[in-house]
Amino acid sequence: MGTTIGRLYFYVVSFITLLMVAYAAGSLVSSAIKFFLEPGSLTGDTGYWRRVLSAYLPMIIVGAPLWAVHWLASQRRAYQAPQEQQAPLRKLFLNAVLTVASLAATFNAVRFIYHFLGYLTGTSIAPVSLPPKIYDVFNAGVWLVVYSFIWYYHWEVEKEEGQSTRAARTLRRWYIYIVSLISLSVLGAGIFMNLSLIISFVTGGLAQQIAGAGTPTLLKRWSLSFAPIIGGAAWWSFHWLYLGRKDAESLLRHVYLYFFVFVGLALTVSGLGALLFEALRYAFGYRAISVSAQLSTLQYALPALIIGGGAWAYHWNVVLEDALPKGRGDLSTSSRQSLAPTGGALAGVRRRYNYLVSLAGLLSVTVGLASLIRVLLEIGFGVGQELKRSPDWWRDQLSVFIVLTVIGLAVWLPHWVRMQRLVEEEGDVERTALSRRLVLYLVIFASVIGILFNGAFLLNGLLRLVLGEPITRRFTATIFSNIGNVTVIGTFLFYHWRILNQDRELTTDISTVDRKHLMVLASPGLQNRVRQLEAALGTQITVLDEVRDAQEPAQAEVEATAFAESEVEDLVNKIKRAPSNKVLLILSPTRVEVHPYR
Amino acid sequence: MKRNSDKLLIAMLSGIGLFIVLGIVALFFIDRNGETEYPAGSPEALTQSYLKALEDNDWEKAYSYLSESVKDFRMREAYVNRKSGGYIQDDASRRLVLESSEIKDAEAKIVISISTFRSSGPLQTSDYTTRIDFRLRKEGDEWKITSPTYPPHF
Repeated sequence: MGTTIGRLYFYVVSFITLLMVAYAAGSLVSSAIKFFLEPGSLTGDTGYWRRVLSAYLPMIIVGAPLWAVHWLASQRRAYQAPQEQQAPLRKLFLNAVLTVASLAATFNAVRFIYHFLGYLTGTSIAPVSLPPKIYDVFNAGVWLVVYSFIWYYHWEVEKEEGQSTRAARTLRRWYIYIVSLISLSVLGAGIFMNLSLIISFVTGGLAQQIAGAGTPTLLKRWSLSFAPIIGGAAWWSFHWLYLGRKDAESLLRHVYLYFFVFVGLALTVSGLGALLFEALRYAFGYRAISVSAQLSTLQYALPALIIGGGAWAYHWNVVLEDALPKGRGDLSTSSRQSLAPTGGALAGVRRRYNYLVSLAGLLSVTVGLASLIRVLLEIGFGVGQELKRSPDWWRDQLSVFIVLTVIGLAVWLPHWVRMQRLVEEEGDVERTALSRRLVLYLVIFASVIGILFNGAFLLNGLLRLVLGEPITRRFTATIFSNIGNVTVIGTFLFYHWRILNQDRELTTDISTVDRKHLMVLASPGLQNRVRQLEAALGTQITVLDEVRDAQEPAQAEVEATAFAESEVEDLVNKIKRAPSNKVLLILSPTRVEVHPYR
Repeated sequence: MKRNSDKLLIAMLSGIGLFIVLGIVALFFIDRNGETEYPAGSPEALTQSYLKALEDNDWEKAYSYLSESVKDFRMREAYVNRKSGGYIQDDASRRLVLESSEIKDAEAKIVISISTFRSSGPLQTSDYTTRIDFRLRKEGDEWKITSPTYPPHF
């Protein structure tokens, strides 16, 4: 049991048997409830109990003792040797169970509330046509109880043992942020559905009434959309607002935050784009067959705008608050500037976010502008005899590609310019950042491939034209499309190529820290010094936690004071001058050692 | 002083702005009802009328453009049954273009491309083009369609 293989065996078996027993127990109770609540549906089914008992009882009879033997052995070991409680594999097991149980409990909480409300009101939301029955309510309730119990038991075990190692804290964070991410997505989907239903009732009110769905029915149906809102909000609040409240400097927290900043921005832009498109079409004469059809876009666009905007504003605000120095509570301009990625792992997350958004915006501009050029050429040259054309034909395409270009620009430009300004301010650290290099090379690679194909097709078309091929609409549309693509992709290729060359010319010293693999063996309580070094070096350092003898006085347990600025500078120079690409630092409260190694 | 890359960025943005303005100007001046008029009695005119009838859901009329040699009970059913379903009733916009036409004595081949564009926002668009080869035969003074006989999908 003391070895890694031994632990792996015991925890894998515990995990599998636990889920098997939970599944069998939940299914058995659900089947019993079905038998008592819906006897009519089982009339004539003489083999019901035989099937149920033969399917689930063996799982419990075999699984439960196996689980008990393996789990109790793990528990006994953990209480005999306290360091076992912090073993990474044990923490992985506990957090994996917590994650699975949490997500299953969230899902079943939503099902339970939905079925309960549906049963009370006698309604359902499309595409489900029949309202839930009382069995559905109990079924969801059983699974909610099963997974909540599993979660609570392992939660108590984990809470009692605490997280005193870096691995334990990291695994705990994975659990918190995975559950926060999924429960917030459930909450967002619920709010989206709720708002969308309200808008559809308002815009299609009259039609709904005529179709026989009166206001009370609509309100009952609307009430069901509160199920994901309540379920998602409960789990998200507990995990994000409560468990994640004191974790401002965690890297994973920032990945989570920037993920939702990105999703929020994408949703906002998508909603705004849909509204702009409809406005432009309307301004240039588009009229749908009815007012409700004309306003149907609002069912998607407004919820996307509200939820995306809300998610973006909230998470961006948390990013700003986390960036504030401790004890300073205002979000002034200067503190906002502290968001600039000046080094360290958190800066890397911000940098990647900015480049990722720039890339998404650039893609939108490229597609929108290339298509706009193609449409303008088709209109200008008017090739092909038209048998018939919808009045919307050019208007819809022009509107959609203008809007795509504009929203792409609105996303790409601010993020790209922000990173360009940062390169000017921060110099080599930013210029040589891996994410920047990746983005530049990715754009250049994609552009070269785009030019290669479009250029070849364009030349092929022109040659065929010169050699006498008759001009048809399809033929010219392909040529115009190639011209649009080559023009836009070529321009962006040229621009990014120049930027890459400029970066190369201006980089003064690329042979130093970024190319070195840094590891630090740090005494407990010196995390602040490690972060200070990461910030100064602009790179991430692999940290090895020093394990101390239990008898040794805990002199380093106290959080050590930060390095003085001159000490940091001296250390950075030593690392840069180290005659190897691999450097091991040994940090203790009283000394710092730099050891180059092979 | 501005860097070269800044100047390039400004030039690029000016170019993009120019195309956006051109697009908006085009919205004001585009001809909304472009349609070529073909001489009455020509195979192109008949194909045009047939496609218009389909788009207007006038199935009886569309059926009347078929050659007598291909008309039968089942074919008629195929057309009449479209009535209830509303064959072409969606929010897509279409452009029907004559790609080529060949006339040899009493036979004609008309190639049509039908482009369809559908969008409910800048991030939700789809477009595709289908090609239909119509074969026509002159019956008396009129051209009639011999292929395709079933109402084409577009």
